[in-house]
Amino acid sequence: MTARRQQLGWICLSFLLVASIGCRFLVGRNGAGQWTFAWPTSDSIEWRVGALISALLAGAALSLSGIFLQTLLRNPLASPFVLGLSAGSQACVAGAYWIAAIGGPWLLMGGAIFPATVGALSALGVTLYFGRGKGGGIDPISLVLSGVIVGTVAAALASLIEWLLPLEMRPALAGWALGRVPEVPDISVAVICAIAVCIGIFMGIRSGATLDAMGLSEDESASIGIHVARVRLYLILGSSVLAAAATALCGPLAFVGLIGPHMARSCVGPRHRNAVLAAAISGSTLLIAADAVRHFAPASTGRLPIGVVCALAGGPFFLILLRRGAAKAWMR
Amino acid sequence: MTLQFESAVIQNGEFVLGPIDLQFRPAAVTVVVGPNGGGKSTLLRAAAGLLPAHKGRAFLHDTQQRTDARAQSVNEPSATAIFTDQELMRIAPARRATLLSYVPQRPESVAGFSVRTSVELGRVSMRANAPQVQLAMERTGIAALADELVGHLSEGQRHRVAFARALAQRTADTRLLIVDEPTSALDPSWTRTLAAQLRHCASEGLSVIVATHDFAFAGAVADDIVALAQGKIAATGRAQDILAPHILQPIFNVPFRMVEHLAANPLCLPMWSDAINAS
Repeated sequence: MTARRQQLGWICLSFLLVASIGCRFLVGRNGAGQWTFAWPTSDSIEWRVGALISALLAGAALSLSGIFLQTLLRNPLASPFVLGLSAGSQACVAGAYWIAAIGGPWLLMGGAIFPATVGALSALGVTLYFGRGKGGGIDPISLVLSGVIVGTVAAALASLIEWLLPLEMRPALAGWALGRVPEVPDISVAVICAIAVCIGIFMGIRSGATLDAMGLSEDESASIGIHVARVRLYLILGSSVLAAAATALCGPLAFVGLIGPHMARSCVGPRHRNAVLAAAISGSTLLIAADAVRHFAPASTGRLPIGVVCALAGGPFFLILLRRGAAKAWMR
Repeated sequence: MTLQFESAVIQNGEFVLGPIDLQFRPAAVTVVVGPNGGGKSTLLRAAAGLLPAHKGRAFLHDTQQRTDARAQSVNEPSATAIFTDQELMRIAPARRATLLSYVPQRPESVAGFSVRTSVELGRVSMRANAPQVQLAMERTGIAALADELVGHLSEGQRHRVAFARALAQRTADTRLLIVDEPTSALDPSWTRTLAAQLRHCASEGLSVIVATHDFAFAGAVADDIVALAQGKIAATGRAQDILAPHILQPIFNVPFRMVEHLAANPLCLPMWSDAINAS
C-alpha cells in the first residue's frame, strides 16, 4: 500500500464518517410518521445527539472487538457476533434481569456491563474450546461453526429467560434484544464503552507492531520476541470487554464487527498502527449509517429495528468472504 | 556462548524426544538429519526455546572474562572467568529474540503484508534498523520484491522472506540461527544462496543448526552432524565421520554410496537405482 493510497483511504474514511453523522443528524420523523430530512427542532436535537453518541461508541467498540478477534485467531471471518460473544452477553444480561426480578432491582446496580462482560468471555471460551482441532491448531471454518452454534444456543437461552420474566419487565428487554440505538443512552454504560474504545484504540496503535507480528505462525511470533500467551490474553479480554460494552449499550448487533475491520484494512492497509483507528472509525460510520437508513424504511407500524438493518447488510458480506475463500487466502 | 542439552527429554504432543545430551559448537554449522518422525523439528523447536525440556535441561552456556570488582578493591586485579547458564525457557521472549533466530519449516505471514513489512517484523522487539532489513533482503535475493504482497509470492519466495526476517533479527548478541528443513521448497539456485548464507553466518561466529533431508546440501554446509531416529540420537560427530554408508544405512534403512567429490566433506548419497531395478 503506497503512502498516497493510504492518504486517500484516510480522507475517504473521514468523509464517510462526517457524511453519515450529518445524515443521521438531519433525518427524522414528523408527527405523521413520515421521514423528514431537515434541521431538527429544538426538542428532538437532544435525542438525535444521544442516538449519534450511542451509535458512534457501539460501532467503534464492535469494530475494535472484531479486529482484535481477527488478529487473535488469524481469521478474517471472526467477529463478536459470528463467534457468539454478542449472544453470550445478551444471555447473561437477560439472566441478570431475571435474578434482579426475583431478588430485587438492587442486583442490577452495576449496570448491564458486568454480566455482559461475563457472558462475552464465557461465550468466547466455549467457542475456542470447541473450535480447536485435535492437534491444538485452530481450523478457521470449524471455529466459525462452533461460534455460530454457541451464539444460537446463547440467544435461545436469552429468549427462554425473557419468557420467564414477569410481564411488566419484558418490553424493555425485548426491544434491546433485537438491537436498538438508544436515544437516551444509559450514562454509566456509555461512559464505560467510551473508556473501553479509547483504551482499545490507544493500545492498538501503541502495540501495532506486536499485533502485526501476531499474524505470523505461533512459533515465528514467539521467536521474534512476542510473548504470545500474554498478547493473546490481552486480546481475549479486550475484545470481550469491547463486545460486551457495545452489547450492553445497543443489544446484540450483527456484522458491524465483521465489516468494520475489512473496510479499515481496504482503506489504510493491514498494519495495525493504522488499521485499529481506521476500524473504530469504520465501525462508527457503519452503525450511524445503518441507524440513519432505518428511518427511511416505509414502516407505518413504527421504525425498523437496527439489528435487522445490520443483519440484512452484513449477512451477504459474510457469505461473499466465505465464497472468496478469505479464510484460506488470509495467511501465506 | 554455546547451546547445550543435558539429558533433556522433550515432549511434543505424544512424541517424546530424548534423553538427549548435545552441545552445539559456535562458529559451526550443525546439520540434523534423520527419517521422518525422528524428532528433527522437535529438537529444533526446543533449541529455539519454543518447547520446554520436560526433564533435564536446555540452556545457553556462557563463559565471560570479567574483572571482579571486589578483587580490585583489595588491590588484586584479576580477570575471573564467570560461567553463566541460562535456561532457554526462562529467558524472556524479547531477550531470547536477540540471542537466536528461528525459521520454521512452513513460514506463515499475513498475505496482505508487503515483503518489506514482513521482513521488518524480525525487529519487532528491538530497535528498527532499516539498513539491516535492506541488507537481509539483498542477501536473500528479494530486494526487488520489497513492495510486493506476500500473498502474491511462490512458496520458495515466501521461504526467502522468512529467512530474510531471521537475518534482519540479528543483533550483536545473536549466537544461534536455527533453520528447519529449508531445502524442501527451494530451487537449486536458492539452495546454493542459502548454503552460502549459512556458512557466512557460521564464519561470523554463530552456531547454525539446520534440519534437512538433502544429503548433497548437508555434505556442502555441515561441520557437525546429528542423526536422530525414533526420538533418540542415532549418531553424532564431525561431518566427515558421520557421512558414511555404514553409519547412515542402518538409520535410514536405505543403501548409501560415497560419491567422488571435491568439497571438504565426503558426499554420501542414498541409492535409488537398485530399488527401481528390483521392481
